[in-house]
Amino acid sequence: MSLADPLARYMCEAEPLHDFLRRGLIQLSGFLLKRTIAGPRAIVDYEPVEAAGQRIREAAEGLGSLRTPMWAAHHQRHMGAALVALESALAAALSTTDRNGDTLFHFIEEAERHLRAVGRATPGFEAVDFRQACCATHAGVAGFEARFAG
Amino acid sequence: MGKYSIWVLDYAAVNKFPQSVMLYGPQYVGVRNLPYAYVLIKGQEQVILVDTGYDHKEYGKYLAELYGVSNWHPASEVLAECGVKPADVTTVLITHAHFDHMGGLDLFPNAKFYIQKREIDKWVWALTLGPEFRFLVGAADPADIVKATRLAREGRMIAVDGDLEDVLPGIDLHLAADTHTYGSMYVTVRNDGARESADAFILAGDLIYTYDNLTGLDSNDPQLVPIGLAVGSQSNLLFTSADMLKAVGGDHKRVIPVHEDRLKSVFPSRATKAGLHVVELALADGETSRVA
Repeated sequence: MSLADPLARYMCEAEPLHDFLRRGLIQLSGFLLKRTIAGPRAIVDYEPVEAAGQRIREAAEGLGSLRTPMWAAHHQRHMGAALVALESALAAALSTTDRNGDTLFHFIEEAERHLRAVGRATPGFEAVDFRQACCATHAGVAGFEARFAG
Repeated sequence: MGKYSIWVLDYAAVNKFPQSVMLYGPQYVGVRNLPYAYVLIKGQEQVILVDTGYDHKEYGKYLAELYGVSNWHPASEVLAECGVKPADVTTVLITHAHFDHMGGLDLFPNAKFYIQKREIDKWVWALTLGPEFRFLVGAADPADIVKATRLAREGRMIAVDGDLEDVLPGIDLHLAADTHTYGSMYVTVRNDGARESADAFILAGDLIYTYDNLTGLDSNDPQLVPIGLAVGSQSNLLFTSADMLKAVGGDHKRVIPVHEDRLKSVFPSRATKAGLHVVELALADGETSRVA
């Protein structure tokens, strides 16, 4: 399958966008986790929210110009839904009214559901990055050799 | 007889794991079998797990195919070897945030979870860095961090800030900062209940992978050798190893590396029908042996 194939091209273009969404989800969830554990009186560190905002903007720009063949529509629909949920989560994270994090967590869970659906729809879009797993260093060596061989 | 029964329970394995990761040193020196395991502690009306393992759904199958993890079995099956159900677990002590240690957060519906605050803080911080720093994050599964958030919101995820004595009677938590991970933790079980215990076990998480980390490979010239995978420093790993050894009076066999394949020959053990192992470190008064 070459990149002239619309599906192959879609998968190549969608993969980094999926990664942006995945990272945005992790960062927003991490923000809420820290905030919850620290308690209501703690000073909130917004660095994860800023990072998530950047990832979400990058995903939005990419998804807006993504050329989606008909047979990838299901995949693309879940990507779009995850983006919408993450945009809502980002707004909730920056809101002064969502003090207990209920709204933020609602949209985090929704985004996670859609990203899981994306992972199930297309192998290679799993919602976890195993490349750096502590049990996976030998696979990393294989990957290194594959990248730099010849 | 001690206050707690303690078992190390295999739940999966990587059959060919690079020795150079387990033991810092030369590369290409071969592979070892690396069991995946958690520790069950039972007694004092408590059922405690040290780490959760991971859940072999969705990404688990991907993992198994890609990285050689094999023979995974669910906690319900593994714990049953000791007459325990996941719902019986009252407390889970998370040594660090890697998926094979905390990837089963939703498998224990009645448990409270303890993890070092530093582990969460630095994990979240590392997640804000660019993808070029992804080594620092390890296998950050969004599901794990979302599950941890859910537990925290339910008041079931407790962040420990440094060392904590008697989290449960006779059980202490120790921060090992900037070692294998930023906020790794090891667990001491003082099984006689004494402050200066003569019957202590240390559950080391991934601060050591093998007894060889505590002894070196030359029995005539022993030394501490760090593991080969750290986001912190090798120095911190060495000094943590020394602290752990000191706490058990130098008896290295009482510092338990859950990934050590030889545990089953150091302590009484048995193989299960599934080809896993139950290793019995200690048996409390009135408890039945699970390896006899």
